Amino acid sequence: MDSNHILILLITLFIFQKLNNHFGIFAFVFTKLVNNNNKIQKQAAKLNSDYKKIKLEQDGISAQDQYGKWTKLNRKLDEIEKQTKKLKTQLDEINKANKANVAKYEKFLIKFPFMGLKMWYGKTLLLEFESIKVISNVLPYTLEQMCTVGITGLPLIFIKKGISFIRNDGGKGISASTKPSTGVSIGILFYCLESVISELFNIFNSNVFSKIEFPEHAVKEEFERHDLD
Amino acid sequence: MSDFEEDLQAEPNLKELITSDTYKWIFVGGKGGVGKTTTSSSIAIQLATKNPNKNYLLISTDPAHNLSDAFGEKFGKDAKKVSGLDNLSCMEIDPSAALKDMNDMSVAKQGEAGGDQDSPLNGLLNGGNGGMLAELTGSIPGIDEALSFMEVLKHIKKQSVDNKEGSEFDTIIFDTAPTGHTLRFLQLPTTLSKLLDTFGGLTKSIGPMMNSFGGLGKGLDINAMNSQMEELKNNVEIIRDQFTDPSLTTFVCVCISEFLSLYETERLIQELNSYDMDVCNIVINQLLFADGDDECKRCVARWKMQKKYLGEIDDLYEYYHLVKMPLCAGEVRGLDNLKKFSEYLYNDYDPVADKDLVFSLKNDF
Repeated sequence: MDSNHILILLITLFIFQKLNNHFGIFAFVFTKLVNNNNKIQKQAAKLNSDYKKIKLEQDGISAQDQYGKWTKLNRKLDEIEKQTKKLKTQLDEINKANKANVAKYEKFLIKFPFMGLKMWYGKTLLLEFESIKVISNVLPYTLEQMCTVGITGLPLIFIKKGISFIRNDGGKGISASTKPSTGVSIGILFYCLESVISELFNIFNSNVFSKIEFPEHAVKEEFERHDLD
Repeated sequence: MSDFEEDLQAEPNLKELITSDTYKWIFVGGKGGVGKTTTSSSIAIQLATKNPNKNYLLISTDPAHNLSDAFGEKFGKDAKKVSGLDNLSCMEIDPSAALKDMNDMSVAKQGEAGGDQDSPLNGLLNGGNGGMLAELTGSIPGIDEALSFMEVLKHIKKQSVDNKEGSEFDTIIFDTAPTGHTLRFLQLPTTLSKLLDTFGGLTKSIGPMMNSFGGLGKGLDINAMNSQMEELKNNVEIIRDQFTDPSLTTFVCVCISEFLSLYETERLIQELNSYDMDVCNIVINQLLFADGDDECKRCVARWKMQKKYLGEIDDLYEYYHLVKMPLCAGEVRGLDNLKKFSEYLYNDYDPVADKDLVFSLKNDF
């Protein structure tokens, strides 16, 4: 497969994964397709509506003046609460099963393909340093190798160097362990992409851009200082 | 009302309860201050007088015991016959005394097993009048309910010992604590059963390891503990079955004709229904019956309020035995007064024909 095609496929899966994590697209689609909690939700909605009606009626009468009627309404409310609790338990069980199924499908349709493709084509070079004069020979050699073979590939170089030294094969292992041409591989690209996006999310989720109100006494002191000046 | 509806209408008395020969457990409960002790004592007296060949036990599970005050004689943690009634005994469970007994037994057992009874720790925990341990455990919330339950277990054990002796008492009447405590007591069989199941599971999984520890010193005998737990579990199951059998156990609710009491009674009945416990009798106490010629304006006003609620109760509890009892001028204390009062649990109280009851109680204590 062409590296550009691989990149497009991986970026598509990557974006879909992020959107799914954020908006729960898969869960929404699955729930709509399966539709196994619809009946219970309708029953729960009807019970909720009945409860509100009866509660409204009960609140409109005095418990002391019409104790009998008030108690009969109370009994109905207790009955509805019991049924609602039962329905909620059933709903929770269904939702739990649905959640487990969604997680399973997400794994097999998005996560594993993405990880598999990333690992298989991880060392495919997207950009060669030597082809762009501006960045050629700018980075230290080790860092260039890291961009090519990835973080996990780097220790492997040292291990191969060690083995070559023990074998005393005259550096054949060393040269064989390093890539002849260096550049940015798909694995490293996605690693950096995920790190940057994760940092951006953290910045937006933490209250970096929210306005902080000054405490009143500090504002007052500031005014007083200005007046004195 | 048609004949069919009349047949379905429950009689406004406790005749069915008193003449029944199947009941083993009768609980009397309700809100505080409504007349539970008076009613439970009255029921016990009626049972004893109407069934002279049977033995009855009245147990107070209320930490603030009143049985001694109601009968005008002292009762303790051991069943004692009521003076004047050979087939009725009363008992007031005392947590600290019961714990002291248990403590003395365990110290004696420790001595038999070769433990060091004279160690300083032993003296601190078990010495003196039960020691620190008894004092600490005696004040744990729920200890009264637990000890009452142990009393029930004792009677169940006696019943099931090869059926040779059977229980000493044919029926046990409980004068219970106010609603919340009683509900907690009634939940004990279910709670204990679950606890024993969990504990049984644990001992199965870690039992072999515990056995090896037991072999190192004088201590745990897992097999003996397991068999005791199994026996306890069986007894608890028996109690749960008996408490939910309407022919063996019933609950008599006592209330007064006021909103708070009725609301609590309603709550109590709903809870008892959720425990599958039979409730078909409600005693409404302290009624004024101030109709017609009563000169007391306060009594007339109060009776008007009570009548309003009585009408609602009749509608809400159609198939219950609703027993209406009067507020007497004197206190219903002492065997004689209780006997007079208790007659109207058996025969319906007629406010016109039986109005002499109100002023006939002697108060020479």
